[in-house]
Amino acid sequence: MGAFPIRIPKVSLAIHEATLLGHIVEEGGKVNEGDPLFRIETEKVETEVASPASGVVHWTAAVDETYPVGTQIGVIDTGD
Amino acid sequence: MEMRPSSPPPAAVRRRMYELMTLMKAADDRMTKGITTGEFIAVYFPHRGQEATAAALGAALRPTDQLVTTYRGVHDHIGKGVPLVDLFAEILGKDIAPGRGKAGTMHIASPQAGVMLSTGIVGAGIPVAVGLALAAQLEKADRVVAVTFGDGATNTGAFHEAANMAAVWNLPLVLVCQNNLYGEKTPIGMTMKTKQIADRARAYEFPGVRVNGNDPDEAYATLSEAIERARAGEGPTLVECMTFRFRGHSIGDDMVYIPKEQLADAEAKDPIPTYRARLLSSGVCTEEELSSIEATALNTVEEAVKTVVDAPLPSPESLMAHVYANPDKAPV
Amino acid sequence: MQEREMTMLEALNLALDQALARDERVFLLGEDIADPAGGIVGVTQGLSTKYGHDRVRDTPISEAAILGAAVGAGLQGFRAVAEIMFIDLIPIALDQILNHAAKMRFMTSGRLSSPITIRTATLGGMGMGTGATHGQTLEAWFMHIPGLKVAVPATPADAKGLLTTAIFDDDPVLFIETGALLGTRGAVPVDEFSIPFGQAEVVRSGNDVTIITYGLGRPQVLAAADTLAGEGVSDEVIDLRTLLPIDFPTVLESVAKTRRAVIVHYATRFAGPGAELAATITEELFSQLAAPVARVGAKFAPIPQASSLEAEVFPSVAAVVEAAHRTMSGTAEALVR
Repeated sequence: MGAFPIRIPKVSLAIHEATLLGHIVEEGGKVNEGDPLFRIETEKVETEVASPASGVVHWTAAVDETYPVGTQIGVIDTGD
Repeated sequence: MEMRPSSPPPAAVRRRMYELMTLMKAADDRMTKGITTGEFIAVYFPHRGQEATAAALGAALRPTDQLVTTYRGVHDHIGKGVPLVDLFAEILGKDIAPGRGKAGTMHIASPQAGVMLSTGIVGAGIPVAVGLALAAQLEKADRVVAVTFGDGATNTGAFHEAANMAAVWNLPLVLVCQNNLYGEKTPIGMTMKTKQIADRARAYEFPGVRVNGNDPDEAYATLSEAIERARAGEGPTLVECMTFRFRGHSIGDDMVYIPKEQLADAEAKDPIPTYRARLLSSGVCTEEELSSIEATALNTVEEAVKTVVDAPLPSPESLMAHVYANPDKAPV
Repeated sequence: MQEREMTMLEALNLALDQALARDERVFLLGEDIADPAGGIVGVTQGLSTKYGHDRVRDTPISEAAILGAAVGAGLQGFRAVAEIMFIDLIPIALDQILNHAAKMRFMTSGRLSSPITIRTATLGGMGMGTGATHGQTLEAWFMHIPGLKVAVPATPADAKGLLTTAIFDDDPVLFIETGALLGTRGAVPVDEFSIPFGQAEVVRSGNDVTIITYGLGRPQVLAAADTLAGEGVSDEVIDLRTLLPIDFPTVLESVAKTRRAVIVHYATRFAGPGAELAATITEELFSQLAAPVARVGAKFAPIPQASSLEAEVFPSVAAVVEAAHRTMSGTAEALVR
């Protein structure tokens, strides 16, 4: 079974960390590549992050915490 | 140089330009997706929207001709035939990159394909292109050098020094300005009184032409004429290709400085679907052929990304290699 | 090797002449370098007449384009020798050295390079009143650029041997000529010859103190050495010849013997090349040193016009002698403590 990591993106040059505001797709839910997956806040700017892959979502990191960019916060079970 | 109404390029060239544009778009979409979804971290300057000029230039240049481009140059590289694996590996800093992790998005060079330099310093590639064109002239080779840059670069001293020098020495150089209306984040109306950048060539007594840089057929006709003019020993030409940049200066640019209507208007005139419709209606390609080109582009991009993502980073021991050709007693 | 007495200017001209004759891919470009001008002071006199204006090429007053064109031709395998008339003018074109010439080999993992030679001159110390923008000594700046090499010859023979090395070296080289030394005379090998970079010259051997210098510091140091010898001090004088790379083995071997070091240069004392030398000597030889390393350099002021002020800004012979004395007396003080 393919597992695609979900990571905090580096959405602009000056960003080193981001706060995970919330999940748009809940634990165990299905997501399609390119659809909104979670929300982050960087420097008081809220960004919706699209899903890098299609599959079933499993979250591994807590909401309302701040993480360095690149941190894995979940995994998408791609089923292939 | 007079703009003459010309017949469209040969069908094979038009098909090739659509292939290149499709591949450029697929590559840009994939890099953008990878960065914004957190799949990978990279510095990347998207070219989405500017594909037509790069495809036309790539199709008009010979394999032996040379090209100098900029940090926003992945489309130019693809046009000149640089493999996607090389480009993505440079962007992600992998050991399989031609620069072995020492170049990066802004500094990709692909001498086998004739792309001799990408510069991250706005305007700086133009004098280097002058040197490459001088080399062609000194060698009495029939090689032409093209240099691409943005509208902002034409406000640098390097542009003006290089344009003057190319004129004085009558060099085989084509200066290709991809005018996307913004120098980084500032609209050109705030940074120049010049109505047409093409007019800047007049100061140096060589031709300057403005074309619709989102129309590959028009760009190809003019660029080909400029290239052949250079090859014939008639000196430099400035071609200003009007275009637009859909994704801002770099990934993560919120584009607050671009009026929403302007962006929407540009996206509505997206050069790729526009050209697709023209090729279909003029009978150059069938729907099946176009769909096949698009599917091939997506596959090529996915395969290249997979190869690059799986590739290792360069080993730390390789750091000091190639600082010097002869490093005897050099500091470490 | 057959030698002939000539000025540094003639030696530079001869090196360029022989390089142009040896390799068709060598060419010169710069402002006023072609005949009849033959250069601002005549270093390139006669070369365009001999090799043609294609290969000894006058340019517009466009420093960025001169060095950019040199870099571009270098990518295609030419060995461009670009003249930037004075070192004070290099900042106009520094981008092409810093971000292009010095980085091409590294950024392409050796697939491309731009082995250009940039000939330039410093007018500092000539007493000509060229002032704050035409008399600076800026070599230390360029010691911060990995990928670049920096040569500063002090004699006619070194000028010829080092320029030949610079032109045929596969790395980019900043070759700094010293205006005040262009007229000095010396014996120079007539045939083509080269002096490897990173090979200092021990100009004078001694046992009590090592005085390290280069460029215009060399005649100052030799004058000071005569005074010191008269006082019974046996000094060793080293001319570094290149600052990037620096011949540390020769420097350290000498200081290990004399246990005292003085560094003299026309660059500012503050953060000058002497700082790197002093730090390395101290790191490597701390327990063997009889005194702290002494540095003599220019004062941290812009170069003034008046000769009385220019003499004040640059190191004097007396300052070199005094620094050597300091390292000698430092021994006694250290023993008392």
